[in-house]
Amino acid sequence: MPITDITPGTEIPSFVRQQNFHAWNRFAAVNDEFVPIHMHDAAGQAAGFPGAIGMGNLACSYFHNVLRDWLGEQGRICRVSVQYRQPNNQGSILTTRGKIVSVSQKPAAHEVQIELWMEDDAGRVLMNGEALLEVTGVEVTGVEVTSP
Amino acid sequence: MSPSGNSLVGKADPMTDIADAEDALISDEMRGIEGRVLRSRTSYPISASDIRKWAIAVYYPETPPAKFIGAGAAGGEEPLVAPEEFNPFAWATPGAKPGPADVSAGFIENGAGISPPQLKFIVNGGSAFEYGVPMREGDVITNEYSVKSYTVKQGKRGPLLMTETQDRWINQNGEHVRSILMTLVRY
Repeated sequence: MPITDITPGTEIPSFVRQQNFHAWNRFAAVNDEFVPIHMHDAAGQAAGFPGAIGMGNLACSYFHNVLRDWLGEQGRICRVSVQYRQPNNQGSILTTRGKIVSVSQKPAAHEVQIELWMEDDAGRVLMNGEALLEVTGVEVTGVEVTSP
Repeated sequence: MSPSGNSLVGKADPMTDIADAEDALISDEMRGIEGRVLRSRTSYPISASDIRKWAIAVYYPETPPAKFIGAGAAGGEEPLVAPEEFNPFAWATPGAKPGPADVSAGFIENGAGISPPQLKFIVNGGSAFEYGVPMREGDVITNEYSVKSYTVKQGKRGPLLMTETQDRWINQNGEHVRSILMTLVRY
């Protein structure tokens, strides 16, 4: 779906995934990330968690996915930052969300600043972050706008 | 004790605690590697299969966008473009003997040939990525990895060793691909 609205305050479509060893093992396999706290409940418990926890790097991919799914072929990701607040647990459903914070007109594209966050199905915010994107092919009025 | 009960007598000074923890956790050897390039690796050429598998894993259980799972150059189409966060160094690099990755909390210092701090656990505290040109099928990526700084913070369970690392990637044409600042938390 082409991007038509880059008004500050607009939320982009969310990205939702359930966490389990099926997802974690696939990511461990491509990133060579067979770290015990992601593989065994006992190792997670020894580190002070309820059980095995999901990979931060996979959650970081979800931050990129929500941006890519929205962008399509209309631009590129310039910067992404991620802060991990709490780990994600097995069985949890993670929803990654983004909201447009500001838009600046540049010669060939709009620079769009997006606030990112991830929450689980218990309502806990697990990650925060922000991204800077270049978005092309969208008409907006005004050259620089910022969310209130 | 003061009437308010707020006497500092017998209470630890948090600043002293942090300074003591820094002395205990950050050795002179560790200070000595701050700012130094610890590791430079060059990847094998990125294959279409690497890109497809990464995309399948990070979009699982849904199907990834078609641009990540096409036939690619080997199939007579345009070279596949990798997802931005794709890791071309996983599993094996030229000249390095494939083997179990060091997943201990001391992997940075072990890799630098110095004694690691005596901490058991490591988690990722956060990362900041800056992207240049995309990685494509056939690209060869070279990185330079360094420790930017060691600091200590007080956590709920005791002192936390914060390690900020920097990783710069370029492609075979010398073009900037990605820079990563990462904060690792050890306890």
